[in-house]
Amino acid sequence: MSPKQRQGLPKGRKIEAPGAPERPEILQGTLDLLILRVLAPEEMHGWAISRRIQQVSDDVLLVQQGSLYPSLHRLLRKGWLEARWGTSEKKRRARFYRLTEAGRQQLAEESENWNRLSAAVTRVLEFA
Amino acid sequence: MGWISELSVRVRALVGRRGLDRELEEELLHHLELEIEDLIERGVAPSEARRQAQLNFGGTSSVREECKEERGVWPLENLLRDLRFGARTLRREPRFAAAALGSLALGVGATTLLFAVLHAVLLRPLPYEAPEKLVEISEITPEGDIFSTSDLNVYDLAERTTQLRSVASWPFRTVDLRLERGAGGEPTKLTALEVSGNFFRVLGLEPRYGRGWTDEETAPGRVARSVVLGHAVWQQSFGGDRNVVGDDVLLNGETWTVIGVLPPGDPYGPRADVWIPYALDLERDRGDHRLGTIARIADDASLESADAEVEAIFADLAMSYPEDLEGWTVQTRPIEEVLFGGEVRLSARALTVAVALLLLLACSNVSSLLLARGARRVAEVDLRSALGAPRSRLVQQLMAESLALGLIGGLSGLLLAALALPMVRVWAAGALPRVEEASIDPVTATVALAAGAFAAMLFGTLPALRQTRGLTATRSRSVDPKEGRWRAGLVVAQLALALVLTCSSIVLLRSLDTLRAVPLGFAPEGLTAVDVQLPLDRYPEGTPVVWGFFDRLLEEVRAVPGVESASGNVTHPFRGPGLANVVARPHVTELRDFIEIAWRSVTPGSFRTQGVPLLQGRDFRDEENELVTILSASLASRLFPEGEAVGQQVRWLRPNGPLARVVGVVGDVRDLEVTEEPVPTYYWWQGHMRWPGMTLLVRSDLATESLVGPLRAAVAELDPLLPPPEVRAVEDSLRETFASPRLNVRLFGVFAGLALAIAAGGLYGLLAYAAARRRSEIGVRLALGATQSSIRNLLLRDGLRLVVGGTVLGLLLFLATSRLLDRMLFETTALNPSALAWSVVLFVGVGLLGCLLPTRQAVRQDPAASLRAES
Repeated sequence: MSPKQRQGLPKGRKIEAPGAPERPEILQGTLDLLILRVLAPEEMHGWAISRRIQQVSDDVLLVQQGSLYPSLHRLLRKGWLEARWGTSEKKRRARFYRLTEAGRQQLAEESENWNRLSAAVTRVLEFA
Repeated sequence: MGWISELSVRVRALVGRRGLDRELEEELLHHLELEIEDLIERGVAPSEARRQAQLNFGGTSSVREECKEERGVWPLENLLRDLRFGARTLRREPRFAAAALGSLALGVGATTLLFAVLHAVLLRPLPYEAPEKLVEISEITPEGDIFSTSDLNVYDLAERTTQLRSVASWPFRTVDLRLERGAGGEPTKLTALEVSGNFFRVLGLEPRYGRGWTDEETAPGRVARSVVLGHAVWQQSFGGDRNVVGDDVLLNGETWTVIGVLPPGDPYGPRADVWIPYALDLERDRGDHRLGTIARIADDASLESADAEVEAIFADLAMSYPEDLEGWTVQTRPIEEVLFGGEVRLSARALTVAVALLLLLACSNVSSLLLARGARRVAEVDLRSALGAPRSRLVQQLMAESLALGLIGGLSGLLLAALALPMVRVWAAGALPRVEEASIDPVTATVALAAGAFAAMLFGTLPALRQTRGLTATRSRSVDPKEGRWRAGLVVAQLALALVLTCSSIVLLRSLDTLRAVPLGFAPEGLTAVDVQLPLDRYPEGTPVVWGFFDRLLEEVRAVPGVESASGNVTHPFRGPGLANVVARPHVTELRDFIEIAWRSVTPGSFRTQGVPLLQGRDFRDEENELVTILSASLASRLFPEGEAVGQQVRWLRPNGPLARVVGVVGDVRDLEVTEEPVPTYYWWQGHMRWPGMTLLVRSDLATESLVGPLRAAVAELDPLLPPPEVRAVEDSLRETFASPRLNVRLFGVFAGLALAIAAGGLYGLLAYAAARRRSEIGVRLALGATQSSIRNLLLRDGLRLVVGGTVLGLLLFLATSRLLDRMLFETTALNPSALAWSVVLFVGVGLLGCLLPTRQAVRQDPAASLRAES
């Protein structure tokens, strides 16, 4: 049992900004997958990660810091990410996240799962 | 791999908590700045950009909390938080904290002390190899008393046995040696125990340095002049130098070689400073029972088989030598039983019971206090529950508070035990073996903290479960009647237990008083004893040099200023040796019809010096021209019930033994065991029973300390080679024989005091709590015109009901357990009406005090204020 459930808090989490109720909800596991995917090519700091997800999804997926940082900490704890302090493109101290080898494997597995799942859901939506 | 990184994150989360929080703060700030810059880049005005970004960003505290949880610090951090919270709560309620912590500290302190003592005395293994294979062998007199063994019997036993691997023995009488340069470079007396060469090997006790003896070194007639040093003497007189092994030392003016140094502690048998070799003396009479004997059972033998064999061998010996051994048998006892049987076990058991009761009291107080506090915190718990805390989390928090209480209480208890231990070591010295080695070591400390935590958890569980039961917003705020009954029950139980301890301690005190008042038959006050022992080689037993020396010594001592009288006795009062033999009237022909007696060998004037009344006949004279004896009154009336003993004859030792004429009868004395009836005693004239050792008894108005110098000088003047003798006040030795009962009285007294305090505290807490709960009711009554005294009586009635209940229950409990106590009592029974009456009076007084304080507080309130507080 995770501590979350003991506290009686909801497992899923809204990641949209206040005043943007039309955006879809991203489940925690999905956000983890997105973060891993975004970090696959290069290391990034937190703000860049949320911005990249937003850009690539054509502004559909908006990741707020309220869900981003707990996710990052969780992925750190699981050993899928590493963090280091470095200098950002704007010459400021920032914390950069990078995929570990375990994170890369996890990404491969999760991507495959996701692809299978979404294909299945799509098929059900089209043919049921 | 995965678990290592997870572990390192968790450890860092816990240890580097501050650093991680700072890092997160910085990271979030960075994020916000980038957000603002992004908006500005998109053309939003800077102030508006800041506003929007902050709005979007939201609060950071929840993020921080969530990140913390994602780092995985739960549940340890929660626990630490709860502990901190618990400690804060304690600070906020100082009276509750003082009562609860005080109770716990007392309970845990007593438990820790007990553990430290029991650990040193009973639990710690004996320093021998396979102690369960070691037995002590004693001969049993025809009267059934445990007695020492004789040289020839031990020799025959060792020759014939198959079930015993080896047999070792020692003469009970230790030898005094003069060490020329001992402690501080001064001549020092060393007490030496002669032991057979295999003594240490039988015990399985390895010397720390050097070695023990070989068989060749201790063969009869070729006994080596070599000595094994005890640890204490090695430290005091040899500077703890391990190179002393192999050195020569001057003992009694002769050269001895040190061959070994023992580890700390007493090995076995009579206490001694050094050990020297002994070979069985096969020239001695078989009836001369003078040895202590231990044996190691063979590997393939059992205690039973060894016991059976030893019995068979001695039965055979008794058949072969009836003139010496008729009626004698043998006993084989495991040394564990010898060391820890009887009094030790009794004292330990009494101690355990008392401590268990005390811990129980302390815990019930804590439980009761927690319940009371729980009632005060109903609102807080309800609020937490309403805010979404599940019951498990609430129970966890309350338990953590108990744990905080337990840990602090445990630490305080440990501190208390550490402070009290030196005192207990002094108190228990002489009553419990090895108690001087009791200490607060890591094991004891762990036990203390565990006891505290365990007690708190155990007694915190019930209140925690009760407090969180049926949590709803609509829960009634009124007092739970069941809870009141539960607490009242606890208090009654506390009072009852405290009464049991009070009664016990008063009865024990009564018993000690009786013991102190026992007529001894002589006057120990003002009597000083000096043990002088002569080395056998220069003073052969039974030769004129021996009594020549003692006669001159007595003259010298009588000439010391301040000395009223001085005489010699073979026994040191209350220290021994206890000498026994058998006598009968001349016509008795069967050994079994002889009477067991104690015997003493005394110089003329001894009865006057000791203060023993001469009842008939005369004292010994300086010269006697036949075998004469003086009998104690009880022996005279047993031997000659028809009357006049003076002038009659008494046979010594055996049917054809020597006859002595009775010249006097003296009063009975208790000069060894105060708790036992005086033993019928047979007195030898010192001229007929010369021992190479003598205890000089000196009567003087001067304090013993001021006699030490002159008495030692008198000995040194006669023979400068003798060790400086030990000089002791007889009253000191008498006091030592009370060690065990005095320990019991002190312990029970302390426990009873503590228990009374705890019970009174519990009573006070309950009544104060009840009064607080009834504040508004009392306010209404006062407002409606009730007098303060009527209110006081109302509250007092509740309290007194508890006191009466506790008294009745306590008395019943005491009656039920009084048999346990009877064994520790001397000429008193536990059911002593006046002692019980005193206990009850004392107890009810304390109980009243516990009732009066809270009721006084309750009636002194301002009715208007208490009514306002309710609304």
